[in-house]
Amino acid sequence: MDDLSKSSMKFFSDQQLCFADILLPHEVQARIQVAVLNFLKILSFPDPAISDLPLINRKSSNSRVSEGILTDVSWIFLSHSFCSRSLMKANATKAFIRVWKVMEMCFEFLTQEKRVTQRELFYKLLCDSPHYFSSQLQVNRTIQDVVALLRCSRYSLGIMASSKGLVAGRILLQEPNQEAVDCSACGSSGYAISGDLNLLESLIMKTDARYIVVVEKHAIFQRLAEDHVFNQIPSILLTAKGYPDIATRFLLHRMSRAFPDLPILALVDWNPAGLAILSTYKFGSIGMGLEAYRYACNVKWLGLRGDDLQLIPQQSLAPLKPRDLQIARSLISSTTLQDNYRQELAVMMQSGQRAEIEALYFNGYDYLGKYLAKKIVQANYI
Amino acid sequence: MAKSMKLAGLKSVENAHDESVWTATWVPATGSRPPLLLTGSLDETVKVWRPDELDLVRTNTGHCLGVVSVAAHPSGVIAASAALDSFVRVFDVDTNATIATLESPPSEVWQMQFDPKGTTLAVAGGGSASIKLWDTATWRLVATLSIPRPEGSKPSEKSGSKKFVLSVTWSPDGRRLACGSMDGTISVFDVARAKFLRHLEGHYMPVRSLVFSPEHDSRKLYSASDDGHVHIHDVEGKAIIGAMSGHTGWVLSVDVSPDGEAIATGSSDKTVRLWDFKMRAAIQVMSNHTDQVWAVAFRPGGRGDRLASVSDDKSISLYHCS
Repeated sequence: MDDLSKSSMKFFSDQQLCFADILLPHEVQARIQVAVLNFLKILSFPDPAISDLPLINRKSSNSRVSEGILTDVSWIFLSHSFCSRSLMKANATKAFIRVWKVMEMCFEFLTQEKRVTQRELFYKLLCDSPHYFSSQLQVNRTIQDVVALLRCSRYSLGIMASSKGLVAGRILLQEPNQEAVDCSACGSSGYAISGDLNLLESLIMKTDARYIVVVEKHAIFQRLAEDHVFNQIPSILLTAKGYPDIATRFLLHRMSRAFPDLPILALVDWNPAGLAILSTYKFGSIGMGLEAYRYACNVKWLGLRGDDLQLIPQQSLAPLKPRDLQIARSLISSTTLQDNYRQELAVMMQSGQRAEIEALYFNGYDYLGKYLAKKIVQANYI
Repeated sequence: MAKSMKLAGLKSVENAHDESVWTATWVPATGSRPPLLLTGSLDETVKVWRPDELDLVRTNTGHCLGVVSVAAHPSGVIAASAALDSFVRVFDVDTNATIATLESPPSEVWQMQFDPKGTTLAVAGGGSASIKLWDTATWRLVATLSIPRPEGSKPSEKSGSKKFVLSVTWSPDGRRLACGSMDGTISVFDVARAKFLRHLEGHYMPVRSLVFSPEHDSRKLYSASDDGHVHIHDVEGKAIIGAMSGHTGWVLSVDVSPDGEAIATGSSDKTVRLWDFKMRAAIQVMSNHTDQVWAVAFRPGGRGDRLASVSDDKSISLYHCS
């Protein structure tokens, strides 16, 4: 009975979902105009007030997990709890104004039908309103505030993700009306994943690979691509050079939908940050929780794992840093982490050590390819 | 009696550039990084240096012809470099990504400075006898402040070329712009009304460098001229408050310390001099350069405890001020 009630909770969890729409420019402009009109209306009442901005709360207290019933994919999403930005709080006034400034800029871009990156938006705001904006981080947070207020995706606001990810291997990518690019012939640098989500949506993909390997670090990606590992085991290599950005996750998600038989395997460092990167691909993130839930994929942990430690020399193990412990604590407290991952994390914390994938080179520069092949063939992934 | 400032040589880099170094400016600190020094040279490059060791962080190439001026945005995120090919390149200091390229007719781009709030870039317009103002959010030319032609002259007369504008500076409150010309006159403009206010007379030779004293509502302007003197003007009145003499060559650059206590100048007599405003005299002479000193710059913020100088001898020097 316990199981039954649990699954019925899963069935209705979607009702708690709060999401950001993917809208056309004029629809986003309409939402901005409504926000302004509401503000002015309340301001011009006989009993005037400066209304607060209601933003969907982007904290773990407002996050929920949706566990797939028919699929293996579960994802993090945000529910309907609000926090508000108010002009009335003494030390939060600038944050309030920043939201309006960013909305103003986005409205202009949408009218001009321009797309900008977060960095370009930062330069404009820095010079246009130097009193309110002083760092890129502030701009990024404010953009997420606007997403949470208007409930539309960042891309709909006209803000393009920057191009961070790379693809290599046995896949042909074709932009409409362009020639197909063979990613196995792209050399060690691979094919750069564009930040333009519309473009990624329109890519035509063809592959004869059997696996998709997601790599944490750029250097490892380059090594594997240079050694043409994807020809030895027919596979596609993907990296976001660290924490994955929306564009890379979008493309991975598209691949997993287009080629559902291909297992997605992750190769990350043996430290809490590596597991956190894996979790972001797998479940999404809270920071961009209104959008990121769409791109969760069933990623499996190939390596490095606890039992790989026998393959590397003792001296390549380094102590965990305070930041690692912080990340580990937040991973343990998240409800999405499955038991075997928790065990690995516990071993990491108990030993107090971390290891990087490069430690495998101790056994020779071509060892990495052999390690990968062996693990895949043995289906040694969790 | 207040203790007067003293300079002590800290570090020098010989052959910092392949050719004469013509311009230098400090880039203010950002949240993630301390102040940096930018230098521009005849060798067509802009180099980024980290104090105090003067480690070379990056070399920016891409200009054709020598770099005459570098300027940093008050936020420390963005900077601009201008070259004799009359292009201004605006770039991100940390990544060297190009943000904008501003074009002007030939010989109409000289010294530049961002306004204290960072919303406008003022460029001395050389042969156009004007100051060009570019908006930093859209990178469009928003205003041209022209020096009025002398009375009685016809438009066809070449007398305009005497007003060739070499140098430009903003007042600390951003309300006034001053520019120096080749004939020695200094023109003062009201920025908000885009109006020419007055000429400041006194020099008869090119005024290559100007700087306001740093207090917020300052009216005091220092000017450096090829006549070897530094004049101190009241921009709202017409009188010269004072003059400081001592250099035996052209005074190519003047800068004031952030606390307003000291003034430094660089000259074609190869020396850097430190002046005390109250005593109107040079309190120190540094002679470590072997050729003309084109630019001197105090590090912004705090008491201004660092001074940089660059020279025709291709070297950069950093001094500690106490």
